[in-house]
Amino acid sequence: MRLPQFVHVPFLLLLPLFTHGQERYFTRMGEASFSFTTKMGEVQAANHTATSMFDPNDGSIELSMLMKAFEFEKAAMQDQFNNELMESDAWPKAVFTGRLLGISDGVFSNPRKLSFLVVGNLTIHGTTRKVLEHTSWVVGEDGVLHTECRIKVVMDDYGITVPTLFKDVLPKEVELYLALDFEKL
Amino acid sequence: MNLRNLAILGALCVLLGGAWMAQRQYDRAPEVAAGKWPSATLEATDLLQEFMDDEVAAGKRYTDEVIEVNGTVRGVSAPQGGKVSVLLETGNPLAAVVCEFDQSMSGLVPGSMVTVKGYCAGYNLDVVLQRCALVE
Repeated sequence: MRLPQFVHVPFLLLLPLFTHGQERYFTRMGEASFSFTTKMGEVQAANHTATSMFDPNDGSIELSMLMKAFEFEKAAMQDQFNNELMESDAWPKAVFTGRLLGISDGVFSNPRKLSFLVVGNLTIHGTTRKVLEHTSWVVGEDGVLHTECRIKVVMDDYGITVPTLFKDVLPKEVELYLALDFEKL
Repeated sequence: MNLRNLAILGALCVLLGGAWMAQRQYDRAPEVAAGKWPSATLEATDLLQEFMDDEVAAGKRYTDEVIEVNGTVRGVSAPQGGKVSVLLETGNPLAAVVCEFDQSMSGLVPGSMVTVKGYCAGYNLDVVLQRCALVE
């Protein structure tokens, strides 16, 4: 489904709607990264400003990141990523909205390691696809929730057209790695 | 060396020089804000407000530009990845201007006034500035 630009409502605007149960968790320093190997060497990109909110009451999670906040080692790669692949001026954000499956009450109350499936919608390049992935969680002694997830992103699925010049260089899919350290709001 | 060989040598030099320059251009790291003239100077609160009022218009005005922002430090964090983020107060407890630095900012403490310039990456509840430099 192709969405119009800026259709996503910033989730913090919805914050007042969540007023019961356990506290919600938030991060503005989420890490999103990917890497792949080409004939010309390893390409790595990382974004350290993904924002995300997690509600342990129902397992809902939202994440948003700026495409232009992905930083590459080389300026040329960053320009090609934003201008020729992601068209970041037209589609400035990637957004995930989903829910953990099978959580029970109070499961995040005590320090422990957990794993859940997460199901939801990932919007990249203005195109939304359903995703179902494993997530691992660590509830820290200090109450911080750490979670990690890897999402397979197939370029064609999101309408990302690879220029002919790069067709033999770029992979058809990349693995997006997410690492989030949530703190209580 | 006859004229023909000289011409071949010259062409080879031009080709190698071109390839070297192209490789140098390709290997160039993303530019940092240090030493760059900002396209705008404003308060952190005003910058956030502009994005909240009209995200598209503010995005067109500031994204990819070096902007200089004055503000009060709310906090400094150094998550994994080697980047240091300095958060500037905006008057909105849920939003900040996030300034990413490549080096330690241990001298900055909450409450101190700073002027930062950086490349604007856009608005994602926070306004994000990257490859920042402190303005003395």
